[in-house]
Amino acid sequence: MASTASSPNLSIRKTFITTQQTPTFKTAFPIFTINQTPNTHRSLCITTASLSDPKPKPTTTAAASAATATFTTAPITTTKTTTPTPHETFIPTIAPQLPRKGSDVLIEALEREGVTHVFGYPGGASMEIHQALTRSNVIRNILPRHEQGGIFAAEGYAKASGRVGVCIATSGPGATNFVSGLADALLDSVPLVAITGQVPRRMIGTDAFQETPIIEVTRSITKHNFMVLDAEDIPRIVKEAFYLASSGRPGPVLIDIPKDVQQQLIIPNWDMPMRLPGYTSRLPKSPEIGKLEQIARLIFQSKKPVLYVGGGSLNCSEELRRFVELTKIPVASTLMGLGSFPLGDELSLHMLGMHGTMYANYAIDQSDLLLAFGVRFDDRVTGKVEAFASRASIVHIDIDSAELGKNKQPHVSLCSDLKIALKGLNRLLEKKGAKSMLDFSAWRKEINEQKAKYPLSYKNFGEAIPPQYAIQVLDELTNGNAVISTGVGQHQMWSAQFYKYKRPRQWLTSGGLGAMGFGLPAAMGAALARPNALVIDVDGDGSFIMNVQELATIRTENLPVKIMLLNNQHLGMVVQWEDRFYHSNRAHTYLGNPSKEEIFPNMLKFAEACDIPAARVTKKSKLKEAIKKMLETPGPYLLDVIVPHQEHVLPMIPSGLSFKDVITEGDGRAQN
Amino acid sequence: MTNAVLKVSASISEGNGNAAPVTHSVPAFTSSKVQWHTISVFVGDESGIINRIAGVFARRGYNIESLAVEDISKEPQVERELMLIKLNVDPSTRPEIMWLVDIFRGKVVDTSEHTLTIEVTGDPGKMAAVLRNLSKFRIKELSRTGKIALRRERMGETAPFWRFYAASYPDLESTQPGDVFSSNRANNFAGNSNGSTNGSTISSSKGDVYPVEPYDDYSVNQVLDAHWGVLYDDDSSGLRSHTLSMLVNDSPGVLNMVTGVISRRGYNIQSLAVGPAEREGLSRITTVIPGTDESIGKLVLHLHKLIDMHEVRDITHMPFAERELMLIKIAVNTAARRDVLDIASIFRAKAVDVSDHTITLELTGDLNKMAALQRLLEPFGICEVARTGRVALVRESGVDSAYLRGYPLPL
Repeated sequence: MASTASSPNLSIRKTFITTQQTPTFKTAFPIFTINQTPNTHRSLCITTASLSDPKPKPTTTAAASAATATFTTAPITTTKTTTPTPHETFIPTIAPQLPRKGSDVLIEALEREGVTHVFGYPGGASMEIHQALTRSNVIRNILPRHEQGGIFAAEGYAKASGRVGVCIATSGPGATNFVSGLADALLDSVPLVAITGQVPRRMIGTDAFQETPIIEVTRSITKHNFMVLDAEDIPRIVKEAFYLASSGRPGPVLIDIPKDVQQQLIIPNWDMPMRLPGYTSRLPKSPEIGKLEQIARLIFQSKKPVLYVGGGSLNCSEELRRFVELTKIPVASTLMGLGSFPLGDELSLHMLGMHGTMYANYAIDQSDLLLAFGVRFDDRVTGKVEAFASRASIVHIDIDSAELGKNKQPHVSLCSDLKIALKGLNRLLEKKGAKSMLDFSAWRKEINEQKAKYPLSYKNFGEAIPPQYAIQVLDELTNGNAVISTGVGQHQMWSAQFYKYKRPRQWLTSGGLGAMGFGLPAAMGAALARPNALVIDVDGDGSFIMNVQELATIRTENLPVKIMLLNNQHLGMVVQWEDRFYHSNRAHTYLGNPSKEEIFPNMLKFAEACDIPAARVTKKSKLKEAIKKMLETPGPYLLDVIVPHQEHVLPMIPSGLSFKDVITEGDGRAQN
Repeated sequence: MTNAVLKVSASISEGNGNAAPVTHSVPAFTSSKVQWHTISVFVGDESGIINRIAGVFARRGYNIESLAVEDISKEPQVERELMLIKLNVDPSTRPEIMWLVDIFRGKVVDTSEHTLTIEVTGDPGKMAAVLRNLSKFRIKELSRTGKIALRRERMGETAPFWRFYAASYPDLESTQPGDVFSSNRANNFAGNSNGSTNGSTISSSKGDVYPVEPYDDYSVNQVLDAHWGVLYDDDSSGLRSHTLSMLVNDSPGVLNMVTGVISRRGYNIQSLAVGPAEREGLSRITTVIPGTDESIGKLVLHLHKLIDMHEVRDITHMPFAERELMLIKIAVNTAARRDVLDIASIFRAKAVDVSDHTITLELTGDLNKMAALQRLLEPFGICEVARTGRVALVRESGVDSAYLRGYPLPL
């Protein structure tokens, strides 16, 4: 699989940068040179793939993205470098001494950050930016059909590649359509730069046409935001925005640029330094050896340790695997961390939490040492916080110091980049000969008994297609190598449970925010970020229709996105809660047309309208063939899988309760 | 919870960068037309209100009529500002500093071997002069309130009680809604909802999308009285007023960001003072927030996540010098003026403006002193109060006078 080649390579990329980053950059597509192959037992001094000669902008998607998928946008350096940008590698479109518009400065600044794709939807206040984009040889704009689609696509792009996603919208309604995406990116720590147009400076505050105070609106849902009041600041602000988005705990950064600033003529100064003294001084330092030794000691003392890894481990899959290899400690993953440790491995406990596996939750419950790496003790994971891992000593490592002790007080906490901490721990454990000394086989045996007793399962009802089965078949046919994006709801949980992710960045979902409509645009972004990967949007009928307009984008940009709809005509997850706790009273959770018998809406016609091949499958016996056909058809494809709405996602720990309250049986068919 | 009693009188002066950082919301390109407007805003005491006001400014709009704002910049006014300065001193420079302190009628609040902390009040012009004179001694730390202002009364006018007539002016003493009152209300509320929805509450707590807590141990956001609600010592729950000292970038919206972090988590700001710090481009925010050590500790971590934040310190448990400046206008005719001045002299308050029906006093000190003076003056009728909010600097001497109070003097 093509994705196999590129993803480990990407997985060692940045996002957690501990020291100052030099803003190097380039206009041209670099040729892919593997000087940073997945080998990672060496130090963190990773430099970018070397740059090639400038090439003309390719016209086809595949060619463009083929190049982009394999190079990293920003170099990671552990040493503080103050060397100026190597200008010789950068061929500006406009001669450096000539004045140009603020919008051209913005685009050149993006180019210098290594941006190759943006998702921009134009409007009155961002026209200048789009005009400037047409003058760029490097950046390709993908026109979404809704700004929310644009920002979700940028998120998908960032999640799939680890690079910073960029999206652009106009002022007012364009900007407010970014809100869900920004909130999602903040909760899931996705590196993102959103650029919005703003009304001219003198009109700000006058309730001008399409004016919203987007800086105010997004203040609490971005990592940081900027309003540019002088075009001279653009180079510095863009540099800062990318640095903020990708360093420390990644997150979304918004830049608001009034239209007259976009039009202002200036000669940019590219050497303006970043002004983030407070932020940079607080970035986590390398971990103290004493702390690491303390953790190692706890591991040696424990009888029943378990790993609880999350989104923070996506960039250090290699180190995590090495750590598990050394210690043989079983690994439970959060929804966000799926794939950082291969789910097929015998030490994997799969997902934990509300809809996690019985054995993962059992292990957490019984453990005497909980190694919480890059996680935030979310309420979907912990349930009742007091009862969560109540027998265990807790070691919490996270890059964000505000997470340490936020929900659960750890016994040992370490604020550090997990990659560096794990490297240190691995070295320490190797030195102590952990591999031969640690023996948790009794504990593993105990867990394996649970595994055998309570595997993930589902029931069959004649020819009806169990949704879980559909995902299992998909896993089989793609050999666990596809990049999967999802909406939010039952299909999301089943995709998390039944697809066996092998690598990080294979799983794109809206975790913290739970934003429906995420799947299709995210798949779009992923297809651009990793053109050689097989990208499949597993979606629900409710989620799909929330951003169904992006089918048009997929067609016009020729993105090979496969869509597998698990269509149950209901808002499945809410129906499940109704069944369980509201006496099956349907409160506006039926999405079909009550006056008709047939499937409504006819999703195939959406596909047809956008010239996308599509098919529907209703019988279990036909499913495999239908999925095969979807995978074999080149380009985009929609497969509408009709599934019963009575299925429940199990096991399930209702919120606020603990492991002993787990529900493992029943569905909407049994009246309860 | 709208209280008729005006709880906070914050004065935010908007200009080109002398007081609160919100002032910089005036965009650079209009700097030629910038005028100074002193706007005093009276607001209800609710969590988040300061955030909302700051938001209005940070947004750079001027549509703030809805907040009951009266622009008094055209009127004659008394302007005052308070500044705490920590200076490096050595024996050779000490006499000169003391001489300067004397000239500017400053007060020494703390002294240690190498530092001297002084308090100065005055109008913005005086502040500038003080800073210019002291800058050569290397200012170590500077904490400064924004400017507060009260209108000077004209002679012979009938005293306007700031929108109240003498008869209708609320009696502050009897309508004082203390903590008892608000907690009672919270209890009532809890009791009601528990009683009426008893069954469903219990059943849904077993399986809601979010964990549902029983209502009675959820205290509805205690709105603490901004004047007297300060908790000096931990009560049984560990709740007490925490003084945070922050150093932030002096950029538009930074105040909103800081107060946003605080109000988003349901904390009520008891006091907030913003002013330029010792270094150019930085502002020092001093704020007082009630909470437990643990919850404030978490709040500090969240404040650390702000990009524009340079430093946050919870100085509650360190000895610190705390000062606040108050301008208070009392309705008083010539007959009673002597009594007021007597009280004023006990508190070492200064009369800054006088008319035939009012007198305006200036007082600096810690919170208890403000409260005491205000209580004593209440019978006369208080027209207006403008307070800066507390500024605080850590005492280098390491002596906290509060701890000395409990000890009997040796005989």
